[in-house]
Amino acid sequence: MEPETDRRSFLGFAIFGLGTIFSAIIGVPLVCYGIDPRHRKGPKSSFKAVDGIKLDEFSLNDPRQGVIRDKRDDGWIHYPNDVIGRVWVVQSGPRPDLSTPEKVAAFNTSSIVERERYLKVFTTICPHMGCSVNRDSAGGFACPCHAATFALNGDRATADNPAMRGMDTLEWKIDESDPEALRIVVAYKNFVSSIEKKEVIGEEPAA
Amino acid sequence: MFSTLSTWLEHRTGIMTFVRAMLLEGVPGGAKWRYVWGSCLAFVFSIQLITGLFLTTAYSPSSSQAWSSVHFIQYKMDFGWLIRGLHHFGSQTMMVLIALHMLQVVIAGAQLPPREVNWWLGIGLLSVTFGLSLTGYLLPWDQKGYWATRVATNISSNIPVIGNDIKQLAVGGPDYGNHTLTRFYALHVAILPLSLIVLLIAHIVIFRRHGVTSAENEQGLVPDAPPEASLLTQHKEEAEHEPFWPRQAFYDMVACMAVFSVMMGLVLYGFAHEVEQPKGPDGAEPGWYEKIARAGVHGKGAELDAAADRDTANYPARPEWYFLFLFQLLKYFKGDLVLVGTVHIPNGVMVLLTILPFFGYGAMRKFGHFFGMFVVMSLLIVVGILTLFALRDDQPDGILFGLLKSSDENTLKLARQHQENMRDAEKLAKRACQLAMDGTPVEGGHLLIRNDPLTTGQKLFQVKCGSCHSFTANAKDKELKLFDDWVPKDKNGKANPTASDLGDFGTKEWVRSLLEDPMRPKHFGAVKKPVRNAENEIVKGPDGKPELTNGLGTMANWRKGIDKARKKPKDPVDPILQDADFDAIAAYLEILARPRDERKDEKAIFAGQTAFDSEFNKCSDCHRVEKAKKVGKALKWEIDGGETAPDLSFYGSADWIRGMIMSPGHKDRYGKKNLMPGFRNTEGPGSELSIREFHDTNPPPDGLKETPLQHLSDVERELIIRWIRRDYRPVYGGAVIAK
Repeated sequence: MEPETDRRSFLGFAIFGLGTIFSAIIGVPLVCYGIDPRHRKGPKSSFKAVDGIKLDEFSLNDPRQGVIRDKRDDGWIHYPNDVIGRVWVVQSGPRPDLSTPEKVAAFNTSSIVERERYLKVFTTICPHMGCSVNRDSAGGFACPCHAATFALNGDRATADNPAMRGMDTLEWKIDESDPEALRIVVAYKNFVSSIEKKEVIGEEPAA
Repeated sequence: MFSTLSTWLEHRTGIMTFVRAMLLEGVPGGAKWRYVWGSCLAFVFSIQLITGLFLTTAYSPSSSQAWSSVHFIQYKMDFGWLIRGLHHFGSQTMMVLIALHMLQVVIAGAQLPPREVNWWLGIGLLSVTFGLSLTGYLLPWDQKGYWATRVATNISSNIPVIGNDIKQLAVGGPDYGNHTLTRFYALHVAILPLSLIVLLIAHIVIFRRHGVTSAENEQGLVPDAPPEASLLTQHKEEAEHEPFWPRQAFYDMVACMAVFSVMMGLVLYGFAHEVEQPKGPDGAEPGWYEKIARAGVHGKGAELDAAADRDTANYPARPEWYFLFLFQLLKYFKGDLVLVGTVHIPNGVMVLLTILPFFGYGAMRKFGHFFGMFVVMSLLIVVGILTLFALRDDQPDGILFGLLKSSDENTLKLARQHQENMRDAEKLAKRACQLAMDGTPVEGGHLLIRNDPLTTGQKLFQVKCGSCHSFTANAKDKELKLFDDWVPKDKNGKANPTASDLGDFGTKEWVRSLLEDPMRPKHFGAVKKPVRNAENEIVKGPDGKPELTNGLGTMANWRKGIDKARKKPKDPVDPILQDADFDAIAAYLEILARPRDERKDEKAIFAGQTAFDSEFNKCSDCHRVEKAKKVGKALKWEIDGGETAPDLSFYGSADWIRGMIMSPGHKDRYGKKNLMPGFRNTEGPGSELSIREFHDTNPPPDGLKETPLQHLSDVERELIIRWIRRDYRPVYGGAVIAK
């Protein structure tokens, strides 16, 4: 090879080499910055009161809607006390004996399946595409967006339903701090929409 | 495969021919290191474009959100510190490169015919770059950018006739705020970059038309070529010269990488404020990726000042260093001459630069070449000197190792003041950056400092409480370097505290020391009240001022009784045992300051209770306190004790201090013995009721018609309480911001 061509190809390699190194140095951080939201976690949920609704106010198959408040982070903003979501509460079975603090404590330690025999708490977010589910005239729930319908127990009302799963239940228990007026507290969560499985969105592992 | 694809692409688009034409552009006279500056500028500008584009994905241009979103980029987003840092230092690098590029141009005489238009485009590019720097400086909406922009826009209002309109258009109205930001944002991310791109393309196209200005190519490659001459025909004519590829391309690449290394070096050196690294969800230490990706918390990247707050007494506003010469120029033209410094000289210089090519026609060319060099070099030297003078005037010890130091006493005084203001501003900036790690209030980042107990609470204490109370800083306070001891002073500057020292108020040590000697200046020793005669009139001394005597002497008398009992000839009280009792009482009171369900140490509680009630210690004779009884496993609390002295349940807690501030003469506190005015919100809704209730529950002390009451807002009160208790979480509307 002629020395001139040699030198030219060396310079070419050097330019591409430097260019590659530079691209990596600036490219990797840019990509990481760009996909940063990918590993932002959702807030940890903790048990929060539902708008102060008392247990005495529930009656069988009469859903009540309530608001859950908690601190909330919106990017850089911190809201010390904001609405984080709404829930439907349905009494689905007879009220257990909750006459003493001991009985309330025992009830709270029973399984969530057991507790749901008495009350079911649903998020108002539709499992189909995330609209807000309301009551419907048939006595169950209906989503105003794509006509997903649900029975009072949260199951899909019909098989030809846009929703892939029933309404999402939330874990709840009885607030033991005021034995005079028993209220429920709910651990609010957001779920991935339009899939068959109920899956929490970006939740941090429990501490 | 690749070659088929490239042939297809070439056939459809002609891209290969274009690239070849670009790369094989002739460099008359051969490749040279001194031709790299233009390429470097274009390179840094593209870095600005890319990083800027990424920054827009996370930036929010509103006066309440801008600072917080930039804080989020700097401290919380992966590599936000690096992207923002490169963008920040990129703008400064461009300024330096522009100076070098201009210098190189006039040395070569490249402003002269036939390259006049390109010189003018260059001046346009310079102006747009200045515009980008000016608008970008405001976008973080921090103190620095805010106050500097106020100055910059006010300068534009100096322009005769249209000045005020220009300013109002730039600011977006009569005052600075959302409209200023949205305008500056639009200018910075769209209007100015687009203008720059258009100018830059024209600049490069015209540059290629004439080629570099070397001795071989003074008159340009194709001076007489018809305008429709294509790149290809041009290429043919250039073929005799050394092409751009690969030697000049290599030089440019090396220079660009060197420039980039300097920028990276600045970013990695770091000019940001360090904050505490937040722990992971389980309190885990961050992993290696987090450590690098969020190195902003270690101070890497560009500085972020505290959020802009119009409620700032003396912010030491300075422009970015490359505008310091204009700032310095302003100092020399005062009063009626202000226009000379702000309008006439800068615009005169721009006009002079614009006409430089005209000195290159015909026989003038030699002179024009020299004159161009002379003008630009002088300009750079003057700018350099003015910048040095501006730096010198702000440094009481001078700059360049003291070689350049102002001799003017007044300037030195201002410099000292400036450095002090700078230190204060730095402290606030660091504090704001730290506080925002827990999120900012929706009203804006400035509230973090306005409602910060450590900084604002301290100031409020000095204003509202500090005319009577002192506050002695402890070792930990001094470590924060944010405050020194506070002592109330009289008009002559003599220490004159008339109430207790609230440093460490309500702690175990404070109580223990009080029991040891209640009349220490720290406790009731400084508390004074006017002497009254039998007619209850205030007795005046020979100097006409009221005579003062110790207030709150009951505790002094109690201690005298204790000391007497210890020295009794018969059955004296054992001082060692009693001091142990006092220790137990101090520990007990500290536990009582906590909420009931957090009072866990039963042994200490019962020991303290017994000591409190003991017939030797006699606390219960006057004070009442919450006492525990064991019911099943739980403790039940009941109040019990004498009623002639303050209720000590929750003593030293936020609640107790709140009660003391709002209702010091309440029967649960000092009652008729109280000497302190009440502090309540006496303005706005509910205040009338609050004032009436204050007087109902705070009977007037002897000789006064009523207990004095002073205004203190709810937030101010909470800030003071938190400062006294060294609880430095910010307050907002009563709610806590920090988690």
